[in-house]
Amino acid sequence: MKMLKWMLLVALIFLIQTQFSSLKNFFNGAVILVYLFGLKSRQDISLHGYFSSKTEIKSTLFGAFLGLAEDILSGSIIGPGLLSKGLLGLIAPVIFTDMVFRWTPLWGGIVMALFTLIDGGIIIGSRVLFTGIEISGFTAFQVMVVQAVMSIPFGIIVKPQTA
Amino acid sequence: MSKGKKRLLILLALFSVALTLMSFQHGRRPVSFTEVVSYPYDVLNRFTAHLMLSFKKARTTFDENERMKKELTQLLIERQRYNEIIQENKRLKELLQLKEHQPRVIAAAKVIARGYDRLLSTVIIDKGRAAGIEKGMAVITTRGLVGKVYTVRDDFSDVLLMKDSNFSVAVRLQNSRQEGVVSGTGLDRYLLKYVPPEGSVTKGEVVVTSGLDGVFPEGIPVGVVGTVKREGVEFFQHIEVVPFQSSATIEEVIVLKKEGGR
Repeated sequence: MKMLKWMLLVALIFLIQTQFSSLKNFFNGAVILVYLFGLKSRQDISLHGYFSSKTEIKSTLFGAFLGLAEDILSGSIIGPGLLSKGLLGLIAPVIFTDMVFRWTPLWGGIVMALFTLIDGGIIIGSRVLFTGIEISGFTAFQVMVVQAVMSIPFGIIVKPQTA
Repeated sequence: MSKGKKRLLILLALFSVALTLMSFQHGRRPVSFTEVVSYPYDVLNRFTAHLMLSFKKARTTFDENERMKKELTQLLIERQRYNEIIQENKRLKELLQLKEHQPRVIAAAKVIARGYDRLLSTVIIDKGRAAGIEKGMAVITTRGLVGKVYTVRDDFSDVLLMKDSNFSVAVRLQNSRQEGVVSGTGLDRYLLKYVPPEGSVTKGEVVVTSGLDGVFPEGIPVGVVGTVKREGVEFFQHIEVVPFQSSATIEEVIVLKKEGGR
C-alpha cells in the first residue's frame, strides 16, 4: 500500500512536470520526492527502533528508479538521473542524524537546495560529458539556482519525525 | 560488514551502473521512452516474426522441393522421349539413305505389332495395299533382309520373318560364290541348305540374296556364316547363318518390289 502511494506520487510528479513544461525550469519535483522518501524511511525505521542499511538500499533504489524513469522520459541518455537521484536517495535517510546534521528549518532548506544543485550538477555534467551537447554554463546555473531556491520551502516545511 | 562499508558499496554500485550505462550510450543515439517501453514487445515481435519467417521458409522450401521433384520426373521422362526420338531419327535417316540407293523401294513402314498367329513368326507393318504393297514382296532394314510380305490388307500387312521355318530365300556366299537356300529354323540361327561338301565355305563369310528365286532382289545382305559342318554329312554341308537383322529388334522397314516386277 505504501509502495502504491509512492508510485502514485511519482506518477503525479511526472504528470505535472510533463504537462506543465514551463514549471520544469522552476521546480524539481523528483528531488523533493526522493528527499521525502528518504526522510520517511528514516522515520519508519526510527519508529521500529533500529536502523539498518536496508533503509539506505531501499531509498537508493527508489531514487534510482525515479531517476531512471526521468531519464527515459527525457529522451536523452539513460544514467544521469539514475546516478543523481540514487545518490540523493542514499544520502537522504542519513543526512539528519546526530552524526551529520541535527534538523532545523534552516538546515532543511539548505539541504534541499544542495540536493537540487547536486542533482542538476550531475545531470548537466553527465549529459555534457557523455552526449557532447553544448550547454550555456550561465543558463544552466541560473536554472539550477532557481530550482534550488524553489525547493527551499519544502526543506523548511518537511520535518523529520525524529528531529 | 560495517555500515560505512555497506554505504560505500551501494555508492560504488550506483556509480558503476550509471557510468556503465552512460558510457555504453556514449556517441550513440539516445534511447527514446517508447523504445524502452516497447522493447519487450519488440523482442517478442522480432522472435515471432523470425519464427514465422522460418516456418514460411521451411514451407516454401518444402513446396519447392516437391515442385522440383515433379519437374525432375517430368524432365527425365522428356529426356527419355528425346533419346527415343534421336534414335528414331537416326534409324529413319539410315532408312532414307537406303531408300535413295535402292531403286526397288515401294514403301517405308513401321512395325506396329507382333503377329497374332501362333504357328507363324510374323510382324505387322502399318502399310498395306493402299501403299502399293503386294504379297511376296521383300522386306528389309538398313542391316539386311527381314522377311517377306505374307498377307496384305488395305492399310497394313503381315510380314513373314526369316526366322519362321516356312521361310526360304535363294542366297549366294559373297566370297566363295557358292549358292544355296537359307531357311528359317524358328530360332535366331538359320540354315544354309544345298551347299555341296566340296564347296569351300568359311566361317564369317557374308551371305547375300542371289535373286534366283524371283522373289528377292539380288544382293540384299542376309547374314554371316556361323558354323560349318562337313563331317558326317551325306549330300550337303550343314551351315548355320547368323542374321544381320535380329527378328527381335525390327522397328522400321522398307518394302521392295518383287524381282522382275514393274
